Amino acid sequence: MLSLRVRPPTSFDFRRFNAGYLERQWRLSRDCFLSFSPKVEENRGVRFGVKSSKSEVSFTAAEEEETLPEELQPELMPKHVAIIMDGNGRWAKNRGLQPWDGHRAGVEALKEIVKLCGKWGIQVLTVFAFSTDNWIRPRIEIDFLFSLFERSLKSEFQNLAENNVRISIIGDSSKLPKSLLRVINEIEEVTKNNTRLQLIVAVGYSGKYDVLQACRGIAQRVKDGEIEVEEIDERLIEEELETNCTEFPYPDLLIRTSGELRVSNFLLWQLAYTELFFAQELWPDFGRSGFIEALTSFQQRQRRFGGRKS
Amino acid sequence: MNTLEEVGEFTQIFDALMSLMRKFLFRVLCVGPIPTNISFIMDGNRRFAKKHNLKGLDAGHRAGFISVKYILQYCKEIGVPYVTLYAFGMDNFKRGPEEVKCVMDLMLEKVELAIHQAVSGNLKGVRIIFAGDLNSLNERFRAAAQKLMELTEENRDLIVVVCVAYSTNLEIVHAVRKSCVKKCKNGDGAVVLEVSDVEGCMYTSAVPDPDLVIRTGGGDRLSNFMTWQTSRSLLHRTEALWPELGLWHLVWAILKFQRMQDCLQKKKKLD
Repeated sequence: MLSLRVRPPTSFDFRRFNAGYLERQWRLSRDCFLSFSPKVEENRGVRFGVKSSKSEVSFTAAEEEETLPEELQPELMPKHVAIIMDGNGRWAKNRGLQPWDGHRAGVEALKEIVKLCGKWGIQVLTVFAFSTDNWIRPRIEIDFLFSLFERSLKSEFQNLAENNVRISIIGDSSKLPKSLLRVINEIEEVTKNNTRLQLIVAVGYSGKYDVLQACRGIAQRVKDGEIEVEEIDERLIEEELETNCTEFPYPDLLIRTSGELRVSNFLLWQLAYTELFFAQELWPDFGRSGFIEALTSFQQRQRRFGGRKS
Repeated sequence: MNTLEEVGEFTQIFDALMSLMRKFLFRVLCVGPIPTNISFIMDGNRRFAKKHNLKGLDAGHRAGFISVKYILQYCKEIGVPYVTLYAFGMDNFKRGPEEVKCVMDLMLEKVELAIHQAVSGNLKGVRIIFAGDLNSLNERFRAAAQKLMELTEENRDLIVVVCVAYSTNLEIVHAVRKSCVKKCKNGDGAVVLEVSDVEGCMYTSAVPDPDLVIRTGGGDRLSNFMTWQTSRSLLHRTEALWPELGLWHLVWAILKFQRMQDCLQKKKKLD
């Protein structure tokens, strides 16, 4: 659904990536993750990287402001953005790196997008971190992913709390390591009253699984005599879905990176009228510019929800 | 003096030539894998009518029906076994009552035409299935749809699923109700619904999931159309409006599908 857009292949141009990466690291080091006052953050860059403090890339003043870029209109900003963060493995392979380097770069990219969402008034950001399909990956990669997730949550705990960000995790948590589950429960509990941005991370999630678990709950209630079969309706299923943790369960915009033109079993019920945007860049390369392009495209679309615009 | 006959002959020769060229093109296309089920989100009829200054509320939809006939013919020639068409969604009832009535009358007219063709043996191996909440439609349409489904039940060359009064969310609600009724009868233990239970009760349970979804009209959304069934499908969108969709759009979409086939196969094995 994206084929009309032709972009220069940033993922294949080492020097361009290098410049983009430098710029990101420099910004991260002078503007902490999700904080709105400058603070130095430890550089968690990728192995092939780069110390950011001596970047030669120019840093325009516009990027430091909290206001929206001029291409975007504040009244047309989506309330809920969902992202399928695809392409970490390919990004690493293109550079001759290990898959976990790609995932680390992916985490940095995610931090940037979370920061932008917080600044630009997006209320909910849902990210597809780990799908039920990903269980077939090598064990070493899965273990790394979960330990990276745990470390990232622990290190960003303070920032999230201070910046009024609420974290929710959705998905089948039965196969996750116990230590990760403990951190998740703790961070969900501590941030549950935050209101600036809700970050929903889908781990061990699939859209069909979500709908199925909702339907199982309803079927059991019917069996127990709590509700009649005729009372089952859309609202009831919606209340049982895992996205009932948020006021805005239906994404306005879904972004998928790496050029794949598929939804891959993510947020099935909730995607009924979501605008889809497919970006060619791999996830670690999808930075601010890619995000602005996606939001600009969203703002130009006519959403009719089945009706007619008169 | 013989102008009309000459024109008629010329048209026949031209059609035969076009048919031969298409056959050749499709033979080449069929060297690669062909999608088992192609689904079309037929968007853009009204914009087409506006663009060409066509009069009448249903003018765009009539033009769209012509496009349906051509696309089904091409799919049959290529050898695609299943085609799904998103004709009318539940949310389309939100449109003006006049437009809804116009569209319903047009669909009824075409269904009755199809019944005549089926009776006279002109439907040539096409089976038509209506998927959706038919109980929300008027009695006459329901009866005509039922009759057409019965008349074409034995045909196997091309199976066309026409989604009318359809939305995935309602389809899931309907499937859950049906599977609850089935499962809750058995024993006193906990009810465990499986994916197969829900899928078996869906309106589209008779056909496999679409491999390729083509949306016309430039929109980039699923509009509550088969979001369950298309979770792994290739989503292709084109700026062409539905009545403008032609042979080359279809061929391009299939070529794109063939290019991405490896990834699709890997994902399908995971289920």
